[in-house]
Parts: sequence; structure tokens; C-alpha cells
Amino acid sequence: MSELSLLVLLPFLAATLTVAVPGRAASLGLVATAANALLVVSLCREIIARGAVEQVIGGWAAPLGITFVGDGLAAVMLAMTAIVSLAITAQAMSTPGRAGFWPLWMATLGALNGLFLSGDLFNLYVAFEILGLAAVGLTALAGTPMALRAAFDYLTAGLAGSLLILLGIALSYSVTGRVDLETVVVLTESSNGRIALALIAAGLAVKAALFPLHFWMPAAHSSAVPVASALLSALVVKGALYLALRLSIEGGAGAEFLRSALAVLGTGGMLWGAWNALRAERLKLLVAHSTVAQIGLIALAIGVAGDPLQNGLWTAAALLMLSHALAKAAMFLAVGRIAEALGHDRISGLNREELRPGAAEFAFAIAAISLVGLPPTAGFIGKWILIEGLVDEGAVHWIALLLLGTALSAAYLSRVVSRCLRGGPHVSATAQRLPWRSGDVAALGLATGALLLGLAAALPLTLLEVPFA
Amino acid sequence: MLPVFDVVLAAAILVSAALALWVRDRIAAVSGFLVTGLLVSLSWLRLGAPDVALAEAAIGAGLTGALLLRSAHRIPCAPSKALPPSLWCAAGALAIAISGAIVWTVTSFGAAPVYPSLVADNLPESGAQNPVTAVLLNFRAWDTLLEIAVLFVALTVVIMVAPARPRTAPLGPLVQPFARVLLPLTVLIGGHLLWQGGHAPGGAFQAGAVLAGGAIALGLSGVIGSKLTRQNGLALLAIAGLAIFALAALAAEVLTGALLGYPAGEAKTWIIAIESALTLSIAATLFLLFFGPAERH
Repeated sequence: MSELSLLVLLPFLAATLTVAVPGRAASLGLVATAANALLVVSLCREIIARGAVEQVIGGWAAPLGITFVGDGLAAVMLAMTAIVSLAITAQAMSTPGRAGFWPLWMATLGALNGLFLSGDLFNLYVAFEILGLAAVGLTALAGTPMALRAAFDYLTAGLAGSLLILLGIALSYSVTGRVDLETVVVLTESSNGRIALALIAAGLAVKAALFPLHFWMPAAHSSAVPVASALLSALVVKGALYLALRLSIEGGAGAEFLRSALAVLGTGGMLWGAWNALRAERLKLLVAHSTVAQIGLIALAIGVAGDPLQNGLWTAAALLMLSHALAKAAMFLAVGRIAEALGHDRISGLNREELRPGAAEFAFAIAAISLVGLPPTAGFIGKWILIEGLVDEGAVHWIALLLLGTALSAAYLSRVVSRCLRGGPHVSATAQRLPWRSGDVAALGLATGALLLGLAAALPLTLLEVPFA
Repeated sequence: MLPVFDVVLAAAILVSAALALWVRDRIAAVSGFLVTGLLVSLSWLRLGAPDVALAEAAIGAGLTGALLLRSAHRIPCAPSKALPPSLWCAAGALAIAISGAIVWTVTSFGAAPVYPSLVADNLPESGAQNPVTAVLLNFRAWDTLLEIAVLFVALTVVIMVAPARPRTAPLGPLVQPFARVLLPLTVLIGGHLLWQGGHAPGGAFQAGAVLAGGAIALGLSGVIGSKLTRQNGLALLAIAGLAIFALAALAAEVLTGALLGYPAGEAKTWIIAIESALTLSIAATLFLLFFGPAERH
């Protein structure tokens, strides 16, 4: 059996097993995520050694059938998912969760893997359906009225996004007569086709929480339980961003109108998210608004990268996605621990006397370094590649906006970090540190991973340079 | 004469949809939705898509309507406060823009779909004579597998949120005899739809929905309700569909080297086996979506 088949089917089998044997759900989840990580490693090695892999499902070639396409970009996304999923599983095993977490989490993993490998527009839509519904369930997991309300809004927004995507796919079928991804380049050639693409992109913008369609997201991400927030913020929104990048790649030069829109909306999101993060009073809300800002940054990176078939600037967007996934998951896990220790997550209450900053605060600080994009993180390398390319093009205004966004992210994150790092008289002599837990390992591991990824950035960059299938 | 029928049908769809949108009473609104669904499925028939018509009638109108009715009791009446005019205008502008884009795109010239000829050419090897079944269970079976995963996730979310069970008492003395007549019929029709799916409109989704309809009637009459759903067995049956489909996909890869690639000449057997499992699983899933999870003790 090929890695691709197992990557997409093992999580679903694990999901059914976690329902059938709820007592062993956590260990089943661990086995599934570990196996998933091993499969991704083996797939990445194969792609580096032999180039992109393709698998024709059922022996029916596209456009009649569906093809899995594992190229460098897909591999990097799969690796991102695998790394974050190990940490999330580790964290979830250490905290007793509600029934329903494991099957939803496993279904999310399967949907993400299927999404990154799919070479067919309609199939991508079905994968988004699983992802969206599972994400709503994960939001509702907390069970509080606020979480249920946020989950319902998420469901409504997600369905609107799905309908837009489906409408776009139906229109693209009427324009080109087929629904595999190769249809995208044909779509860019006619105005009808561009309407179809714009509808798909609008749906993706809702699902990715791209400004100004992000209204549902801060509430959903901040009222969910920590593991679910980490999952939603780090991985689920990446599905839509990945497809936006994929459309930009498949569309080539003709997708410039999509990229321009992404750049403008991305800038708006970067500034608006940062502004709200600066004003947020609760820690979780700050991190959720920072996701709006970071999604804006990634959309901006996709938007200003130009034709991916002509230059390699788009790799910056992929690196930023990777870096954001690791750092943001670490940050939400750390925030969960901080809130658990304090009993609240008010930012003004982070100066405390009875507790010394511990592993969770440390993880938060390292993750913040990655999100701001200081060297040696992958976020830094991504921004570096992007700014270098923009300097060559002389696009000074985009560089200025990027730097402004960076400065703002440093400003809102230091609201938290400065409070955590401040020692001195307000910490009483009897202050205790929290005992270590495996949840700390997950947050710290991810944060350190995001930090070290900058030193090992050659690996994802090598993968990203594998030509598209 | 036929255009007259089509015009009346289109007008009736608009009227019932408007009714569903504007009636304040929840039950009346859901009834409007049900009628709209049935009329839309008629229009699918007129458009020459009987498979879609069946699915729309069974799932779109039938089961969705049942789920909405079940929830309508528990939700208070729509607020009488009208939306602010600015919101009305914005929503109207958006709707007109999207509809305009659709109308323009659909009426302008597009490429001929590549699928009809491709499906027709490969139909003999697909193991099904009905092109829709051939697409759903063979050419694009991966889509169908993911759709089964959607059902699985929906059921998981419903079990997690654990809505209150519908009360069966106030339904009156005729429900039980009605259900006793209905259930054998739904088993017969479900089995027929499943088998017929191979060469004519029908298939696992429609058959499962019909079966679930019969089971829900029986459940509402109080005959099986708590007895059957209290056990975990029904939930296991519901999730078995995804597990069996996924295992079959992998087994096919072991045998032929292609994921979901059925061995040559045996495609029909594989499809019928998978569809039978899916029918039971879909019926169990839809039944549980209606009645909610087993009661906790």
C-alpha cells in the first residue's frame, strides 16, 4: 500500500475505532498520529529523492477519476500537520477531554491530509466539508454557552463559505466542463472563469478567516478548549490558505487578479488583527486576533509573490504558514496552561505574586519570537525571502507594510511577554512554579521546533523546490 | 401543455420558498421548506435528473424536514423585530450580485462537459449500468468515501452536543398502526432502491434515507425507541459504514495496486457489498441524528 493511501485512510479508520472503543481512544490517537508522522517522513524522503509522486485513485485517470498529487508544497503541508498533530495528541493525552474529541480530531487529520493531496476541485470541496464540520464540533467541545454560540456562528459562516466554493466549482464546471485542478488555468482565460475563481476564493476567505470575513473567528478560537484552539488556529485555517496558494500556482500568470485581492485583504487583516490584539483584554482573545493578523500576513505573502511559475517568492508564504502553524499551536497550548494555572486569562492579571513564570510562559515567549519573525526562526527566513524579492522588484510600499505588520506584532506580543518576564518585588518569595506536565512538553517542543526550523529551513525549502506535478 | 406545468412548478417553488422564509411560526416555516423540497425534487425530474430528484425527496425534503420539525418545537418564535433597512439593502445587493454572476455565466457559452462521454466509454468496466452509480461508487468513489466521513463527523458532533430526545407521547393512537404498516414497506422500497441503483436511479443514500424514515416512524410510535437506541449497537452500525468503506478501499489496493481499484470483472460484487453496508450505516446514522445518542444512565 502506498503512503498516500495510508495517509488519508488511517486517520479515518482511527476515528471510527475511537468511537467504537472510547476507553482506548487516547492510545489509538497516539498510534495514529505517530504512524501518520512516520508515513510523512517516508513520503518526504521519497519526494526529495525522486520528485513529485502521483497516485491515480481506482485506476481512473483525471478528469474522470481523482488523482492524489504529492509535490513539494503538499509534502511541506503534510509535515506541518504531522508535527503539530504529535504535540496536540501529547497535550490531549495529558488532559482528560470530553468524549468526541478524539474522533473529531482524527477526522480533522484525515480531512487535512486528503485536502493537501487532492488534485480535484470537487474533492477538495468534500474535504473542506469534513474539516469545517469537525472544526465546529471541536469549538463546541468546551460545552459552555459561549462556546456553543461561537460554534453556531462558525457553522453558519463555514456553510456560507462552503456554498460559495460549491457555486464557484459548479460555475467552473459549466465553463470548462471538468473539475480537476488543471481546469484552473483554463478558468483564468475567460471572464466567466474568473468569476468562478473569485467565488471559490471568496469562500476560501471565509474559511481562512481572511479580513474582512474573519468576524466569526476570534470568538470561536478563543472560547474553545486549548487543544481545540491550537488545532483550529494552527491547522484548520491553513487548509483554505493552502488552497488559495494552490490556485495561485495552478492559475499561473492569469491568477494575478486573485493575488492582488489577497494582497489587499491580507494587508487589511494584518493591520486590523494587530489593532484588535493591541486592545484585547483577554489573553486567548489576543492570540486569536493575532491569528487574524498572521493570516493577513500569509495572504499578503501569497498576493505579492507574483506568478509562482516564474519566481520562487511563493515559498515565503509556505514557510510562513509552516512557522505560524508551529508557533501558534505552541502559543495556544501555553495560554491554556497559563489560564489553567491562574484561573483566568486577563492580560492585566498576568503580573502575579504567588506564581513564578514557568514552562508555559517560556513557551509563549519563544513562540512570540517566531511569530514576530526574529532570527533564527522560520518566520524570519520567510519574511527575508519575501523582502529580498520585493526589493528586487522595487515594491517599496509592500515592504513598508510588511515591516509595519512586524512591528505591530512585536508590540502586541510584548504586552504579554513583558508581563511574564518581569521579575522583581511583585513576585513574592514564596511564589511557586507549576509542576511539569506533558502539556508543557508539547508547547515547549513546538515553540522550540518553530525556533529551530529557521536553522533547518533548508529542508522545507528543498522540498518546496520540487517541481509541481 | 408542458411549459405550463413547468411555469406553474417554478412559481410554486418561489411561493413556497417565500412562505418558508417569511412565516413567523416555526412549524409553518418548516412545512414551507418541506413543500419547497418536494417541488424542487419534481423540478429535478423535469430536468432529467431522477437520481438527484430521489435524493432531494428522501434527504433534502424528507429527513432534513423531519430534523427541522424535531428542532422547531424547541426554538422560540422568530423575533418580530424587523431587520434594519441597511441590512436588507446589503443582503439584497449581495444576492443580486451573486445571482447576476450566475445567470451571466450559465447563459454564456461554456465548454462541453468532458464527463458524459468519458463515463459512457468506461461504463462497461465500472460494474454498474447506471452512470450515476458508476461515478459514485467507482470513478469517483473517493468523493463518496469522504461524504460518508462527513456523515460520521455530523453524527459525532450530534452525540457530543447531546440534544434532548424528542418526546413521543402526544402523537396520538394512530401512529403505531401506521408505523407497523410503514416499516415493512420502507424495508421493501429501501432494498429495491439499493438493488435498482445498479442499473436505474437509486442507490445507498436513497435506500438508507427511506429505511431511516421507516425506523423513525417506528421510533416515534414508541415501539422500538428506547429499547433499540439505548444500546451502543446502533452507533456501531452507523460508524461501520466508514470503516468498511475505508478497509475495502485499502483491500482493493492490496489486490490490484490501485486505491479503490476493484479487481477486474468483480467490480459489481464489490460495489453491491459496499453499498449494502453503506445503506445500513446511513440508515442508522440518520436515525441517530434524529433521536440523538443513547441515554446515559
